[in-house]
Amino acid sequence: MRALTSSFVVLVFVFVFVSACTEAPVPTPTPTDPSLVVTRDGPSLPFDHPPLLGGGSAGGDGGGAAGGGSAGGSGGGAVVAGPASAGSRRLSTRQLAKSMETVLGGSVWMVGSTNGFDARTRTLGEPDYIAVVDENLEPSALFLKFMDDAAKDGCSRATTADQTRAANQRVLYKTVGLTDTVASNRAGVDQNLGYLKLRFHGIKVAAGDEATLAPLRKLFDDAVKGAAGTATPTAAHVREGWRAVCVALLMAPEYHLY
Amino acid sequence: MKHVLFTVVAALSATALAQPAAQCQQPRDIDKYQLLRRLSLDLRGRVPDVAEYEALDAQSSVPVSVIRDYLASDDFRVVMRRYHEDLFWPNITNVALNNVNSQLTTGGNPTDVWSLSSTGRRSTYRGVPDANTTHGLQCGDFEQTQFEPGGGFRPAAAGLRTTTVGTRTVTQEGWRWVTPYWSTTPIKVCAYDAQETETVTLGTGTAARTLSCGHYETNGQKSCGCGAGLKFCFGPTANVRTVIANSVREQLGRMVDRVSTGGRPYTDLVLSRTVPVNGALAFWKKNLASNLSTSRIWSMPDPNEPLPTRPFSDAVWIDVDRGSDLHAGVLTSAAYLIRFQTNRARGNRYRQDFECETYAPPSRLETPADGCSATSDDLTKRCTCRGCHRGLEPLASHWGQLAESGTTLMTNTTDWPRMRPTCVGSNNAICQRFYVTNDDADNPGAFLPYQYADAQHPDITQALAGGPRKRVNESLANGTFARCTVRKAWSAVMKRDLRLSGPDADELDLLDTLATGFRTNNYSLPWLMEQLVTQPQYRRVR
Repeated sequence: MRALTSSFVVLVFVFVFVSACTEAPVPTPTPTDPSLVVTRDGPSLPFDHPPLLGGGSAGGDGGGAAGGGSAGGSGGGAVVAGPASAGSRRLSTRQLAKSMETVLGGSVWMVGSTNGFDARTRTLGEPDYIAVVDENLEPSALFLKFMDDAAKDGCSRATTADQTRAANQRVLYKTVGLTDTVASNRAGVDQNLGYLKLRFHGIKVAAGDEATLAPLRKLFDDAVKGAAGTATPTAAHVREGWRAVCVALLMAPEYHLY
Repeated sequence: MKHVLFTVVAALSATALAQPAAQCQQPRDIDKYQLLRRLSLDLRGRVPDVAEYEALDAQSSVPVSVIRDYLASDDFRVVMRRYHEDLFWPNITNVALNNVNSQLTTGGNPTDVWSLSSTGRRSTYRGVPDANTTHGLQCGDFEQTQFEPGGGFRPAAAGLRTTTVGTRTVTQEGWRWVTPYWSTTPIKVCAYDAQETETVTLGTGTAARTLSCGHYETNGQKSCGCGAGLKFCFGPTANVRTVIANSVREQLGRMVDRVSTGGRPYTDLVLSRTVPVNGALAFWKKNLASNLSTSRIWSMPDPNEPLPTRPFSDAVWIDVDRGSDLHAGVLTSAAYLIRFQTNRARGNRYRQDFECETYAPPSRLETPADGCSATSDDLTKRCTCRGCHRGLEPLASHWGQLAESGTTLMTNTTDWPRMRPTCVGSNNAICQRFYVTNDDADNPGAFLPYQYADAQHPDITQALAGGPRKRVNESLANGTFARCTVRKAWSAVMKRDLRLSGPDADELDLLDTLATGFRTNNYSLPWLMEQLVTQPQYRRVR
């Protein structure tokens, strides 16, 4: 139940990532109109989507192609000078397996004594070239459930491994000590969050980029406080904070899409 | 409780975390860090490590040297294997290579004693298929120590145990210790089954033929067992059949390696006569492949196929010339021929993978008024069917000299005459499988792939003679091969197809440029991949 709840939420924000935007104001949609058009190249933008800054896809009844700079109809897309773009895709099971090992510094998801990506290869949609010949890259609820398992297990192993490593060998605690919290070392925590954002997502966080750091910092802080309760946070409590950040980064669309 | 709290916190925070990432600037250029991530995932199958990202801090973009390092890496080799496995589906672990006539098992025996599971062979050895329930169903639970002179470990009559069960006389031998080819640990094997006779002569006079005891036609000979080290028989599936199947897959992977990081032109993938072979594959072809079932995989060695003596467990891969120009890279490899068992499937898969074409049904059903036949067995003439089969039949004929549901090159016209009149109306298994037996059919008695190799079908005749290589050379000459390779590689790295049709067909010239470059650069796959990932489209995302 716990995993499904979390998976559902993640499924929702994968959808949000693909189709939504944060620009305001957004006109009130007409309830009877379809809000999403799926083309051969994937979902185009909702009919009520504001004009794109860079051009590209346009939705509604205009039939504009998703991506590629062309636009049409009443969707509001602007024609873009320059080349068309590439598409986006979810990482394959193999890519996820190898990437997790990279971002977690060698720690992996284990199911018993087997790498979880091998143990769950069929369930995750990897082709066996007998019954299945194409990998299913849909972020299904089942896929997300297992990614949730993978993230929690892999991050537990990574944060545990860091407890016994020398400071300069740690994977997730790059610029913080094992007991540092937001209260005790906010600058170090922020620096570490930026480091993890680069490590997991390949996104370079500019100094003072509060929009990126604030949600991660809050997650870390909430998790530490939730684990510590009224007690003074210990290394074990702080570990829960970094584990929460690690899981969030592994479950984020920025990790799963490219 | 703590975990529940954690999940809720993580989920809510993750939702908040996701919000800023959904931007409206799409399509948009990606920065150097995201470009590196994309390159690494596409070319190495994993994200970069953090040191690689940090190395970009001092660079304006991802240096070409990084891309070339990726293309030369072992990770790229692995990525290209997976890319080609998606084309060839080389998993044959579900295919039975043999039947009970050559399958050793411990079923029904005294504890841990192995014998052939075929009731026919049991009957040949002991007079009845199941000896008796008192002494064991196959051999007896005693060590066989007396053998006929002359070698071969043929049980001597004096060492047999004869009993009467009802009205039947049952002759049982004992077991003896044998070290099987798939293991270093000796096992007990019923002595008849463990006989080491190498050859036996079938027939008499001018019809006499000397065959290996590993040939399926000798299965009814009492003097033939499984050979030295049980080499003519299949052991446990996990130790033998699965090892062969995995070697077949690995063989294809190694053929891909040659053109990904091995420096060979991509055309080698579909033209090379040589093929890498390990001990398991060499052993299979030399000793096991002829002990086949006429209703299963036909895996006899080719007429000129080298058959070196190598241990089954030899893990070293050696390139072997398959001895015929009818061989054409992976298109005549065991993986391809066993995964795609009919010639139509083989041709169709080639057409999809290297010509980027698929067959589609016609928009309406035809009638004889359209100039076709409603009843002809010749599918190139039958109404509606002909829409695809006029192309598919000649295409399939390129594989016509290779056994369907098998791997064997059937070019020896003494063994495989193109016309065998005695097969007309015959129930013989070979006739039923390989020849036209129905006397009402077109060209009764014809070797099946040659049924329509006549003046009315010159394209089929030419395709049969040229083999898959002929089709590949045609695809190379008209540019189809290069264009299709570019299109497929483009789709893999760009995550969308080239825009070649419809109102957005603005990448036709680009396809031509890339295809021409691919050809002039000796069909270098790394060159092509480098060109693709340095296209401006690759640096933009939606």
